[in-house]
Amino acid sequence: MKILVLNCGSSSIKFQFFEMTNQTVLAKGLVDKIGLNGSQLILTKQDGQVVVFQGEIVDHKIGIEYVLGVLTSEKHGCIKNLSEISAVGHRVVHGGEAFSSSVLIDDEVIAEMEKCIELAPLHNPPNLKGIEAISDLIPDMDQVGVFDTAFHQTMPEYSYMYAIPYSLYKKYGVRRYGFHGTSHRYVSERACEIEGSEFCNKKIISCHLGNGASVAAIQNGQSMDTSMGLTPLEGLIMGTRAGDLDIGAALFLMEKENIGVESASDLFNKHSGMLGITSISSDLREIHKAAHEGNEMAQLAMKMFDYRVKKYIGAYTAAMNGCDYLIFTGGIGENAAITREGICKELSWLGFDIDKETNNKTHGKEAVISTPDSKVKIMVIPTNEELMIALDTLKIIEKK
Amino acid sequence: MNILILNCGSSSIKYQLFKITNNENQVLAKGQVDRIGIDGSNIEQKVEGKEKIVIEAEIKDHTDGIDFILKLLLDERHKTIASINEIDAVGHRLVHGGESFSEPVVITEEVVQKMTDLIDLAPLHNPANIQGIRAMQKLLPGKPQVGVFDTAFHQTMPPEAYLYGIPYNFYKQHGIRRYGFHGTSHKYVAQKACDILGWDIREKKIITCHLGNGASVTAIKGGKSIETSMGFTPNYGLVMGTRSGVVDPGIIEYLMKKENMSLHDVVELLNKKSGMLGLSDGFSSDMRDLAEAMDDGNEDAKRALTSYAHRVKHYLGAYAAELNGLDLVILTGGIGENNWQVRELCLTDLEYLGITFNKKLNKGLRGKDTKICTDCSKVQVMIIQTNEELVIAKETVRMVG
Amino acid sequence: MSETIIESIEEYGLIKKNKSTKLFSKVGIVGCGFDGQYIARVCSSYGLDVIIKESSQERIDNSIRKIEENMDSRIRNWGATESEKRAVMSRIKGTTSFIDFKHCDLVIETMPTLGAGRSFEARKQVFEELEKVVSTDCILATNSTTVVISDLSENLEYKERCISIHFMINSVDSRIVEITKGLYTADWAFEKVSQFVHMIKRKAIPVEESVGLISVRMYTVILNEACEMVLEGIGCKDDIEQLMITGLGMRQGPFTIADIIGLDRISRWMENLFNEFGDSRFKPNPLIKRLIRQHHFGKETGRGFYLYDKYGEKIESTI
Repeated sequence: MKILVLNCGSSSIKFQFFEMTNQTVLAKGLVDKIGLNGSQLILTKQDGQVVVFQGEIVDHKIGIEYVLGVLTSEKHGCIKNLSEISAVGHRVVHGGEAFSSSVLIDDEVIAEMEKCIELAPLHNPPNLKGIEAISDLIPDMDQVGVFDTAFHQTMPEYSYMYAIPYSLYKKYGVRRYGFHGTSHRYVSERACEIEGSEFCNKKIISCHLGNGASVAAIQNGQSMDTSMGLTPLEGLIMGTRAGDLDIGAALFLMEKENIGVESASDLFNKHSGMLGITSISSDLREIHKAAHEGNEMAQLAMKMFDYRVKKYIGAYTAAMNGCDYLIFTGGIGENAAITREGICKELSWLGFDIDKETNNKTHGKEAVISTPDSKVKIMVIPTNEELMIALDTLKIIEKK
Repeated sequence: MNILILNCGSSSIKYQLFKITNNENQVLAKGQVDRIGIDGSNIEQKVEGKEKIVIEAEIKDHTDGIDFILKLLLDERHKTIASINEIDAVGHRLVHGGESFSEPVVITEEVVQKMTDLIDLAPLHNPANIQGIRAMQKLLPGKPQVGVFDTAFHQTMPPEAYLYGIPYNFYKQHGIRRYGFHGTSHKYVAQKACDILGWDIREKKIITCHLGNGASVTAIKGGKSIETSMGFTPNYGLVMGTRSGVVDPGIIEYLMKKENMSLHDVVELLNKKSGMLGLSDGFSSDMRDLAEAMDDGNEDAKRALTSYAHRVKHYLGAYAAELNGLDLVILTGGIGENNWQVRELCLTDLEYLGITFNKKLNKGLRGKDTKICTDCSKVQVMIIQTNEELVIAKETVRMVG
Repeated sequence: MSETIIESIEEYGLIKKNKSTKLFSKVGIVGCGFDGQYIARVCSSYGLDVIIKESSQERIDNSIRKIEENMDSRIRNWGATESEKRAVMSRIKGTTSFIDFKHCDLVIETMPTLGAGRSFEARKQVFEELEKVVSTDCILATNSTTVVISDLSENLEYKERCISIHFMINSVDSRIVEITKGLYTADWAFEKVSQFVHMIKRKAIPVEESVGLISVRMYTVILNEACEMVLEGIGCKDDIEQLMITGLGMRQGPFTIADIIGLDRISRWMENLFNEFGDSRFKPNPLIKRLIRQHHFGKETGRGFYLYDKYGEKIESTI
């Protein structure tokens, strides 16, 4: 059985094509700069061969058409016919309160997803475009939506409520939703699988540190708290996002700089975070390099980043009254040993003891990086949201 | 020495007259001027063992108010002091000292100038504070005045704690950073608890929770504040009576677009309609009412209180992580000192952090400096009654004495 | 690993059909003053190649330097990076000849407005020159508000690709443009321009062909009325500004906007509006005339309704 997984962003489409019988990736790739000058499709074949297809890709539908065309092509494809695709799984960013698990997409689901556009005006529309494109191109194809917010729907009320008038929650759904749910779910389940322990009786803190970054507290197999909120802006300091910020400071700035909401939103989402502090880059690797060369702002930014993560780890340890596993994942979490060390050093009182040597050797692979007698097991687990989406898709169409 | 302590708000002045000697601190009188510049302005003064005096009068401004205070202190019925010359110095509780003040200061023109420069950061508080200083200069010329800033104690925070993840230029240009407040209170209760326990504060890791109408948590290491939960403004961190504390900054855009609010409306909403009042769907911002209602099974009250406690726990954990250790947790402020239900919600199920809370000891307890953990608790938990005025009085004596 | 293969994507569509929509890759700008610089920077920052034409190399250098200065201020205040600046600057090229517009998908004319319709002939000539070099589906647009696109394009062979796009430049929040179809403008041209506006993250407001569009016609009257009130002594300048901002919810007051746009330019707008409508409410108020006579045009000259320091920060009121 073969499943195509699509992740449609505002100007890109990431895809992976799975053979589910042995969970192998037949092909994967990226459609980039949709609607922009220099649009292209980059394909990585099963044997590692990379092919770049250049040309005009005006919108998502055409992008997906090319993806399907490439997959079925004689020269670079891996299937002969579109009918070999059993189902398509979509990553959908915001499922609001309507979706607490993955679903088979039908008109009703699409209608619900459209309602969520207000909550994720940047993300949900391209997700919907992807779904529409598949329906147009391969009518009757089974499609499954896997939501970034779904895993966090188990948060208790005291975690997800903001201390603002309750009517705003009832009227508009202003509450904490959390994101990266698929990733947090994957790595926390995987940690228990590796350790041979029962997912539903462990206390887990998972740190998804990538360009976007969030921490989740997982207890009884359920997310009980997470650092992103109504929008993906809240919580940790990210590449270009500010994370937690005194609203008073935000409003003060808006008045001082005489900017409106949209510019302010741009400021906190696109010009802040590591980029804003350092004015060097939003890419942590470049910041590490600058810090290493003695750039003080880069050093400070790294400290701020680590510090914020550390605080969340402490907070969630308290909230769960304990922690069994601490997991690092996402581009930074999987690869940046220096960041992992920065976060975990001087955290021994809470039971986190990192083994510096093992940590330094761990890049992008599964490993336990705590000392043998550390009370909490610290692990690195590369995330695999696409596989999770494929598995969810498979589960749902098999049930059908 | 007799020290008059003033806390000037925008339309009120709270005051206390202390007699500070080497072995005794005595409150000679205390009182409050209310509704300055508003119809129905009044002043009331209490002296222990005597009937309180209330005067309704037209009080136009802070100078008027302080003039009344001095008159009342001389009032025959209370006989606090015989002449205003018996007041040796004046201590002011000041709100925002920005990055200029990390210690109490003797007030000079330069200090007032710096406070004026900081009005942008504390537009409500600093002007009132300055008016109080000016009035004193006029009415008690030549008497030394000392200022103790609410932000001063937190000036020891490291940059990774006080900076926000926004362009660094906004810090340099507009001073946007975390300042923290309630500094005098946090400092006082930490020292007081160490005195009671016979500890040297420099060797201890302490978290102080000032839970009152405003609320903040501070992590103290080596006697210094290394982080606190309030930020650029006092509306950050914990849930408060009507203040929201931490929210997603993305909410601004959402509210302004959805509800068609202006900046001003958003500030109002988050400061005056949010917090416990908002969480309880308008039920109450008063912890006593909420605790009572929760016992009766009120869901709105429960939601508000559990959210409140959850946030406190977050900070306890976060700061324990920051301190990499914890010896003592202190509760203070009106709610921390008096509301046992709230204390129980905030401090149970924290054994992993070494906190074993003693529900029995805690129940019904109010207004007492005492331990509320079990004997075997790794971390000590105490209630300490805060007394900012006394700290200011002592600092004033130290500065001018 | 074997080397990356590069191919053209056209072979791989599921349905072999002629895809008519073309992407934007290059934008031309004729006349690179304040507006032109703004449009060039915006287009470039959204990944489009930009070519600007000025009458001399010196003027080109000057325009490019101004764009650089603007990027520097964005680095200072908005967390833009040096590499973003390099990327933006690398996409902007200058020319003194129309020939270089050959491969443009869109050319916007942003020449200075002269009073009494004097700029009309110049603009018309630009359109004619452009038509000689660009392809037939290249959009020709004017950023002018007081010249009607139908009149501008009437002598062209392919009139249907002409349109008016008016950018608002007075604040970072003014992410909105007015688009006007002329008599001859084809739907496809309108669609294409809408796509362009969307690409540079602006909102498009369709406006019927009329001198002054919405923005300029409205604003000139507001400014005239505001000046009138100052002269009548009804309120002082700062109070009027404050009332417009706090009371009516404008982001900037009328005098501040005037200084940003430039009084010389506003007065020419007014002149053209007066010529079109014959209504005296469009006649520049004596206050404006007085400032212009003294060459106090606004922020650009360091003095207008307000006084500015060398960084363009407001210092004080001047009247």
